[in-house]
Amino acid sequence: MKLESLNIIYLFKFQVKQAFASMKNKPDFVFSVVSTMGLTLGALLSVLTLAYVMLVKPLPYPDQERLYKVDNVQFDATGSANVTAFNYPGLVHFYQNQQSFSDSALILFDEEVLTSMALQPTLTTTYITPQWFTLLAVDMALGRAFEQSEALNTHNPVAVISYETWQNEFSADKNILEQKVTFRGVSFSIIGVIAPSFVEPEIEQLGRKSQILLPWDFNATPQRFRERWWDRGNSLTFIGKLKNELTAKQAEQQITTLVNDTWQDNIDRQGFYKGWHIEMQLRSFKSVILGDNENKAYLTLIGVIGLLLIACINISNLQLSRTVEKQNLLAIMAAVGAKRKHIFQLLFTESLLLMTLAMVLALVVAQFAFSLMQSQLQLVLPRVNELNLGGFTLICALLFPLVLAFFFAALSQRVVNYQRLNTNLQSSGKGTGLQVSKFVRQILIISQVTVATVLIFINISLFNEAITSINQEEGFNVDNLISVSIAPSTSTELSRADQLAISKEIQQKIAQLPQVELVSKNSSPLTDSEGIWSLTEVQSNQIVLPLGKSVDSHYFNLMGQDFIAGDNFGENDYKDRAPVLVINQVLAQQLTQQLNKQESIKALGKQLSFGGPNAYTIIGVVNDFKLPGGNTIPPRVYMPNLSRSNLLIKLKDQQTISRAQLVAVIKEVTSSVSLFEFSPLSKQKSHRLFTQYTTAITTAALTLITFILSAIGLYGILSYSTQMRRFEIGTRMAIGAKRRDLIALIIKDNASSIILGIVTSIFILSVLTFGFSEQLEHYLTLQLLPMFLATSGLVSFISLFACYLPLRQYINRPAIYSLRGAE
Amino acid sequence: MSNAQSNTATNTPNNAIKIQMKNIGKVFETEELETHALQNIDMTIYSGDYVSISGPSGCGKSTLLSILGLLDMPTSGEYFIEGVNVTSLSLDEAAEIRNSKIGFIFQSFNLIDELSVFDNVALPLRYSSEKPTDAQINKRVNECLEMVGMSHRTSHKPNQLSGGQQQRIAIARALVADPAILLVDEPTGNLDSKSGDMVMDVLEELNNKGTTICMVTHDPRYADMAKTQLKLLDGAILQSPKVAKSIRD
Repeated sequence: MKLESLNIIYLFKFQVKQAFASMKNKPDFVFSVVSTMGLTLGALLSVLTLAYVMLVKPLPYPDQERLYKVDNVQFDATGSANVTAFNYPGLVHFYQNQQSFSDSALILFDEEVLTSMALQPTLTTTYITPQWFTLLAVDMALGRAFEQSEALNTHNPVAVISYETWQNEFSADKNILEQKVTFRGVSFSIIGVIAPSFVEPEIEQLGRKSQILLPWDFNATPQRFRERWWDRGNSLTFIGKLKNELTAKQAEQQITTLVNDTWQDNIDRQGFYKGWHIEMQLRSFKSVILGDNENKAYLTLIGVIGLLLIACINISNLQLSRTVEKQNLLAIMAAVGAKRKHIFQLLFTESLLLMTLAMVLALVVAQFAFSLMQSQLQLVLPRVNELNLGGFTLICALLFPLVLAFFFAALSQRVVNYQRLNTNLQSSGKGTGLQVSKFVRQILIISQVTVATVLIFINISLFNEAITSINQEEGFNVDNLISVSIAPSTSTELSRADQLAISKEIQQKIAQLPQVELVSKNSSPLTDSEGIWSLTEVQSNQIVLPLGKSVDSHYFNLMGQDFIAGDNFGENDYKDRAPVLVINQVLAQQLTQQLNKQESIKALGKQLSFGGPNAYTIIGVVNDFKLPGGNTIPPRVYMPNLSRSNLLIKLKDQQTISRAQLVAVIKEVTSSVSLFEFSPLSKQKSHRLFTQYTTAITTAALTLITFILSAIGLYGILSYSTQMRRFEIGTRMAIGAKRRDLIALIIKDNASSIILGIVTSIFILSVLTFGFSEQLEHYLTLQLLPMFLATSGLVSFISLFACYLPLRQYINRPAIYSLRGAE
Repeated sequence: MSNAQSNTATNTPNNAIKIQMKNIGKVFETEELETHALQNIDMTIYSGDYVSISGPSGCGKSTLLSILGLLDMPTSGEYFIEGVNVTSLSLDEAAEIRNSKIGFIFQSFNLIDELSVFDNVALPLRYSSEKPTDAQINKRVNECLEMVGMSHRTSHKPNQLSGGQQQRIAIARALVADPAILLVDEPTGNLDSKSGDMVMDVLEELNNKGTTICMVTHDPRYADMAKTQLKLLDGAILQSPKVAKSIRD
C-alpha cells in the first residue's frame, strides 16, 4: 500500500516534470490558454463573489436575520398607497412606545457643511440614537460610541466620526478626540472614531457612507416640523431587532395599530386626511440593501457564464490541436506500455498546470475588479465594500482549476483512439490515432463565428450608442460653468427677504472676481430634480405636462437657448412676479399642434393655468437641448423666479475658480450661510453620463475580449483542422501546389462555415430585433446595417487570418517538413 | 524475371541529361548536433534511365530523393534539372518545377481521401501554370488511368480501393503532367508481394516506353530491376562495377 502511494507520487512528479517540459516548448499555446482562461476566470470569480456577497453572505451584524427597517406607508381614502415616509412626531412616539423590537434606533440622513474647517467641505451626516452602535455591533478605533448620555432628549453635543473621515479630513490627527466640529452653528466634541473594519448598512442609498455621526436631538428638522403629524420626511428612519418570539407579520400588526391609532388622534380626520390610514411594513436589512439588484446579479452571472462557455470552447479547440501535436508522444507512451489512465493522467497534469497558472492570473484580475467596483460602482451595486479574496473566492479558485483540468483532459482523451494509437508508430502516419470529425469541426467554426458576430455587433452597437451620448453637443460650454448652492450655517431660520438679500450680495461679490464673466440666480439644469407641472391651456382646456423650472433672465443666454419667437423675461417680471412664461419649442408644438418651427409663434399669448384662478401668459418660445444622457427633448416651461440658494457662475475662457475662493467670498458677506455645493457642470455632466461611460468602457472591454477570444477560438479549431490536413498539404505541395493555391484551398474549404456562421448571426439578430422590438427598437435599427457589415467584415477577417496563420508553418517551408511524418 | 530484364537492359544514356547533381551535401542542424545526411553526391541521370537507390536505414536515401524532388533544399552543391539550375529556387518556383518536371510516387500513396480517383489524378493539372481546359484534363487523366489499368474506377474514392490499386492511381497522378522524371519512394512498402510485383511491372513498362525513373528501395529484388543501381552508405554513394556506367564525376 505504502509502495503504491510512493509510486503514485513518483508518477505524479514525473508527469508534472514532463508537462512543464512540454509547455516550455509551446509558449504561444501556454500564453493563449493562460490569458484566455485567466481573464475569463477572473471575471467569473469577481461576479461569483459579487453574487455570493449580494445574495448569500450573511450581513456582518449580530442576529442579522432579525434586523429590520420599518416603513410607514400612508394609504389615501381610495385605499392606494400614497407615500412611504414617517412624520416626525409619529416616528419619535413609535420609537418610545413600541414593544415589538428588543432594541431599536432612530436615524436621519443628511448632508451638511462643516463650517469649522477652512474649506468648509460638505459631509454626509447621520443623526442617530445610541442603539445604532449596539444594533450594528460597531467597533471603535478610538474613543467611545454614543451611550445613554446621548439618548433622545439629552442634547449632548458630541460627535463620532468614521475612520475615513479621520484619515481624509483630519489627516489621522492623533489628538482627534480633543477636536470639535461645527455644523449649522452647533459645535460638537469628537468623542470617537469608528474602526476601519466596520461596514455600514446601505439602507438609505447604495454607496452612502456616514462621515459624521451626531446625536438625534441635533438633526436639522425645524422645531415646527417636529410637531406636525401631517408632514412627512423621506430620510426619517427606524431600525430595530425583532423580538425572538415575534414574526415579522405579527410585529407589523402590533405596530400598525400603535402608529395608526396615534396618528389618527393627532390629525384632522375630517379634513385632507379623511379616510386615510397608516400601515407599518417590515423589511429585512438584507432585502433593503439588496433592493432590486437581485436580477442584476443573476444577469451578470449569466453573462459571465456565457463568457466562460466561449472560453471553454476556445480552450477545447486549442487543447484538441495540442493533443494532435502530441500524438507521437502518446503513441510512444502507448508503445512502451502506458495504459489509458496513464495517458489521462498526463493530459490532466498538463491541463491542471495550465489552469493553475490561469487561476493565478484570475486572482490578480479579480482583485483588480474588486478595487474597480469599489471605486466606481458603489452607487450602483450593494455591498461592494465587502468584496475581497476571502474564503468563498479562494475555495472557488481551488475548485475551478481541478474541474476545468478534468474536463479538458477528458475531452482530449476522447479524441485519442487508444487502439489506433498503438499502431500509430508503425503506420505511415496516414491513419492518425486522433480524430475529430469534419462535421464537428465545421459546427465549432460556425458557432465561433456566430457567437463572435452577435456579441461583437451588440457590444459595438451599445458602445456606439454610449459614445454618441457622451459626445452629444449641449449647445453650451459646460467647461466654463460652475454650479453653487448655499445653505444656512446657523440653527436660526432666515426669512425669505433675508435669503434674497444675502443671495444678491453674494452674487454681486462673486461677479466682481476677475475670472468671472457672469453670475446668475439659477440652479444647474444637469442636477435639477425636475418636477412635472400639470398645466391647462385656458382656451382649449388642453392639459399639458411639461417639466417646470424657475429661471432668471440670464438663463437662456447661459444655456445657449435662442428665442424662436417672443421675448425673454424682463426686470419687471421678477419685481412684480408677473404671470408670464417662456416655453420650449416642443411644448409650443404640443400647444399649437404644428410641427413647423415657424409656427411656434402661434403659441405666444396662449395662457396656461395651474388650476387656480391665475393664468400665465406665454411670452417667449426657445430652442432646447438634450440633457447629457437623454434621448429626447421633453416639453419644458420656464417661470421668472430668482433662486435664493443657487447660483450659476460663468467663467471667462481659460479661467478657474476654487471652492476656497467662494468660501472666502461668502464669509465676507455673512456667517449665516455657508457654501453647500460647489460643482463644475463638466463634473455634473460626467456624473449624468456615468451609465454611458460605464457602458462604453464595459462594451469596449467586452468587444476586445470577445474579439480576442474569437480569434483564439477560431485559430484553435482552424489550426487543428489544418494540422489534420498536414499530409494532404504536403502531398499537394509535392505535386506542384503553390502557396497561393493552398491558401485559397483552406479559405475555400472554410468559407462555407464562416458564411453560415454570419448567416446564423443575422438570423439571431433578426429574431432579437423582431421578437423584442419594443425593448430593443432603440438599440437595433436599420441604421446599424453598415455597422453589421463592418462587424461581419471584421469577423471574416479574423476567420481568414485564422485560416492563414496555422497554414503558414507548412507553406513557408520546404514540402518535406509537411511530408516528413508521413514518409 | 525483373532481374533478368534489368541486367540485359542497356545502361547507356540514349538521350539528354535529365538530372545532374554536383557535390551535393545536406546537413541537419539542431542546437547541439550537426548531422551530415548527404556528402559530396555527384550523379547524373539520363533520359530513359531507370535508377534505383538503395542502402541501409538512415543512409540518406529519402533525403536524396527529397532533394531530387525539390521537396527539400541541399545545404551545398549544385543541382540541375534538364540543364536548369534549381539549387536555390524560391518555394513557389520549386513548386512550379515539381508540377511540370517531376512526378512523385510515395510509399503510402498520399492520395486525398475526399477527392475521387479522377480528381486525384487531375490535381497536378489543376496546379499547372499552363491552365489546361477541362476537355484537355479529361483526355489526359483518362489516358493515364488507362496506362495503369484503372480507367474503370474514375469515380471511386481512394478508400474504396485496394493498396495496389491506390498505388496505381498514384502512378497515374505522377504521370499526368508528363514529367521529366518519376521519383518513386519505396513503392511497394505498404503492399503485399503480389500487389508490389504488379506495381513494379507498371513502372517497368513505363520505363520501357521511355519514362525516366528514379526509385528508392531497400528491396534488392526491385533494386535489381533498375538499369542503374546506386548504393548509399552514410550519406555517400558507393560505386560498384554494376553501376559505374551511369555515374559521372
